[in-house]
Amino acid sequence: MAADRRSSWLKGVLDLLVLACLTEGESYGYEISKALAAAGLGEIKGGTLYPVLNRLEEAGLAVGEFRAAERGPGRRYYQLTDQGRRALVEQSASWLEFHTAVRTTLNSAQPGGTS
Amino acid sequence: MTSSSSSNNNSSSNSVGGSGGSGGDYFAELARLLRAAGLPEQQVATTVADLTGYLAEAESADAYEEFGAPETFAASLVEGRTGEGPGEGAETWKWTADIYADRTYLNHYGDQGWEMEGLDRLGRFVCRRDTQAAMRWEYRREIANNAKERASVAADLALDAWEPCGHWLYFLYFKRPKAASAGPAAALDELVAAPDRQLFLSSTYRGKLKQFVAAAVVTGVLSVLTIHYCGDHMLVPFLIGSVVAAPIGGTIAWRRLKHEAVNAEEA
Repeated sequence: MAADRRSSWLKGVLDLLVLACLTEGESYGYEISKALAAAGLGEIKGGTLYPVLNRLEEAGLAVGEFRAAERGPGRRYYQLTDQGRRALVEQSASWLEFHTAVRTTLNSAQPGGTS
Repeated sequence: MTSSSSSNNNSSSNSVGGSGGSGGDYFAELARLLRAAGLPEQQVATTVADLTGYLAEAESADAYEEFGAPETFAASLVEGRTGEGPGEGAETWKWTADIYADRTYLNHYGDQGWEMEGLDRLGRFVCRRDTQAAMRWEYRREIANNAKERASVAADLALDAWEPCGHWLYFLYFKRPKAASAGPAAALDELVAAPDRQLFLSSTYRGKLKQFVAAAVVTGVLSVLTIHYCGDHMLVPFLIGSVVAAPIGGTIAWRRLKHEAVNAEEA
């Protein structure tokens, strides 16, 4: 039940989080998934992550490049575009504003909370 | 750590799931689906390679568990990508109707978001509907005998935002988004399911078809009886008569059909 709720919350912000994972430089699917898990956001399945990467690429916010590897099947590396950086700044501000409103409302509902 | 987001799988049991660490069957099926969706071969290959690497690094034993049902996953991977066929989220429907009912049905289904893209070689209406952002459409039919008349009619109607969307014989079809007259109200919030019919015949057409079949049967029976009872020497005159009568009858029928179509247009 708790996992379902977190999954539902994550849907609204996962695109933004994936963009944030690319601010330090290019990354690939599994590395992004690990970074999100390490940040405490839980395990993101490939079936959830790759459609997000596809959406970001289609929207021009990220660009992917497949590179063959000497060993193994190769990886698709993603990096932010300029449009992606701008979108990240704008949407982060919107999300943080929303987050503040949620936190304020929930805090006020706590016993002894302030509005 | 609890799983905060799961893949879009419906069940862990599937014929291509649970195929072991390599997920060979799963990826073969995924590649087939991506190709079928119009993804170029190179992209199919690199996508499968990337996902294979992901699965190996995740040390997941089950591709189905990691990526979900291949049909759903493939659809999400090609979403928004342009291909030769209709895009993801778009429906295509080919159908036909006789000249007495075509505009009625075009407008009826145009109101359900079906946009006519043209006529195929069989004379069927090829319609498309965007399930993500469907709009209402309206249609009209005009008559033109040649390319010059078609251009003239199209130029006149273009002033009112009518766009040609196909022609068959001397019938010209035009479409216009209802937004041109209804504004935002032309947007469709809910879609009626795609029709499962491909043929619409009016009662007028059925009546004429019955008359034609009856006339053909009577003519055939009379011809056979005449030849049978009057002898083979009647065969040649009958064949000559048929050769002469067929084009005359065809021409008369053609003109009458056109006349009715024009009158119906004016009605």
